[in-house]
Amino acid sequence: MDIKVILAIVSLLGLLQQYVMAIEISGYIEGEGRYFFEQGLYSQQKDKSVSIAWQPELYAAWESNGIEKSMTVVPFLRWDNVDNARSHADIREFKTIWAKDDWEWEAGISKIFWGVTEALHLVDVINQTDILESIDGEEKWGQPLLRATKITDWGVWDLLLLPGFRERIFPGKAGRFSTPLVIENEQAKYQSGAKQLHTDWALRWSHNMNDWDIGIAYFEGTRRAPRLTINYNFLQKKAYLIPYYEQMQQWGIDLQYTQGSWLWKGELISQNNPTDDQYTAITGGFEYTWYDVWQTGKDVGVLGEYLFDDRGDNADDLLFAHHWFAGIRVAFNDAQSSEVLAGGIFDSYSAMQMYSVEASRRFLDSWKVSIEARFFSHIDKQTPLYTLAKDDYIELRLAYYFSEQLN
Amino acid sequence: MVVKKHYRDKKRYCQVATILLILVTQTLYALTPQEQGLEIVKEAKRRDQGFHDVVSDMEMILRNAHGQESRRFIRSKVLEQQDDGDKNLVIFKKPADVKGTALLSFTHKSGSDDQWLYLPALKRVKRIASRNKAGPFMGSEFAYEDMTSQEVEKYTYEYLRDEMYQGIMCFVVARYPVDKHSGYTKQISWIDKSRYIVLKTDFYDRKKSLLKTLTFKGYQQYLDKYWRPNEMFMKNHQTSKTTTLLWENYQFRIGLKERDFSKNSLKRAR
Repeated sequence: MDIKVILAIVSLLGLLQQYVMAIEISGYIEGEGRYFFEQGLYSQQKDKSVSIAWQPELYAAWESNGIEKSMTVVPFLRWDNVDNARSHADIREFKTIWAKDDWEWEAGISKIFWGVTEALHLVDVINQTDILESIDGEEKWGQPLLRATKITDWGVWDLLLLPGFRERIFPGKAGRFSTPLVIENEQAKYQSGAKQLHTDWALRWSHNMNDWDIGIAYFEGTRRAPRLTINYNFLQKKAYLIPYYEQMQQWGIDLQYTQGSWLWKGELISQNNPTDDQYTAITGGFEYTWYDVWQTGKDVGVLGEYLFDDRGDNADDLLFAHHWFAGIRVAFNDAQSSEVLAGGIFDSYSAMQMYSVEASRRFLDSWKVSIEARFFSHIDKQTPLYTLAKDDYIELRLAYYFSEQLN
Repeated sequence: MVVKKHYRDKKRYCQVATILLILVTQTLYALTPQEQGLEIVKEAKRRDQGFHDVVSDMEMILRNAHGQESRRFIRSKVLEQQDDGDKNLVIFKKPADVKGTALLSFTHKSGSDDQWLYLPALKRVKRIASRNKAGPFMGSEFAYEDMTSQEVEKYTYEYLRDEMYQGIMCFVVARYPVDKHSGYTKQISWIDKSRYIVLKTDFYDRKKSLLKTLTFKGYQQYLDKYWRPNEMFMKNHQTSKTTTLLWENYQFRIGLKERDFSKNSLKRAR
């Protein structure tokens, strides 16, 4: 390396030492193995897959002119031995946050979560879902955004500008959880002429009063869930799907009432888009926990949620349009933070069912092992995702976590 | 006549004064053990008032009966409240898999506390039920109710006796939790008579048998007023497991504000 570069880095580090209050490096590296119980629909699909993921996080905080500032950088990398699409990289976060008195500003790539329910997140619309990572919908792609937040005695106001859109990337031909026809991610089409550069915006007010937590949000911009339209390649004589991203306007409300061992939750959205015109969906339910069961220190919680979508069977972006979710969560509260969550989703119209079990446990302070299994049954042949019927799987993850304070 | 009346008045005055004196002294000496216990705890609380805010770093060492150790690192922030229980924020640093997880509690003098948990992987702030009092905190021998703000109103008290503990004269005070969801039926504390600080507490479980003993070591005084221990050692007599809390970097009055203890600030808490 050039001596000038080294000198520059050294002096920069010296500068950082003077002003920076905290520098932290943390993250994880994990190995994952998946086993599918049945042969897939395509010959390229395998019963077994091996994968490695790495997600480091660099964080620095400092203060200048009475403003608290921070910088966070979180790259993400996954390599998968079977599915090329699942081998993916992303900048999950690359953001700076400034805070002073009752104001907060954020710029960069970030993740924002809204909502209260467990099985399905209706009001959470800012980030695109990374379905390559997990089909549970909890993993997200980084979203470019500008945020201004004002904290008042009567709640918190968030104004968001979202320049740039992240596409939903679907598994490739060799990947599991795929559709009967291949989805060509690269040929995505948009309703807006600005395509991926359409600037979305959102406004949210949230507040907590005693036992109540409430949020009301409005979003206008590109719909995160694409329509899958059939195309035909005459040369190859093959049908395939392309994602089509519409524009939408959506109101969302989320509400939670917390009393004793009960959590009561509800989310409601009202959305306008060209295909559905206007539709309403509501999800809600409860969580009840028995703490320190029989003085063993363990907590046992039961969860129940219901989803209603007034589009009924026309809800093409949902596997279960009217479903019940029931689950049980056990927290062992031991030194290894052992946890088990088991649940089932049942469609009340069709007989479709999905069962899942997740369990995790820490060992040797820095390691974590987790197991996840999902089983699908009575999957209706008419749904676009009927191939899931062949995607029952069990997954083992072994992760090494690190965390160091550098100053 | 005049003299006689004067004499009578004086005599009556003396009688009244004597009765009053007896009444006053009787009231003082007739404080019930419950009232005495409450007075002691109130005085301890009064002496600890006015700190405004305090931050500190804590290392938690869990040891099981075989001597296997597990460590956690936590940053703690407390904001004093005038007419309510304190607000506190704990941020987990290690183990690395829970780094960034933060727990915000608004404690209340009566009724249940408000608690929010921040899950950094999901960027999610989750309101949680605060009935969880008796459960273990981070798998340790400390229950959630041992870690939160110790408000006077959360217990009833009983002064038992004066007793020497490690060469220090102490009040021995029993306290009984008001909340029926507490994991304890009784706690007995040894409180230093001169400094009004707790040196030792015995915890009795729901079956009224001795469950745990907590000892406080290395008290230091900050801002010439506030006493804080460097070490808290909890021993579970029934499982032989222990948990040591080592406290350092106490900083008082760094100027924390209400907004530093909000759902919104949880996401930025470090």
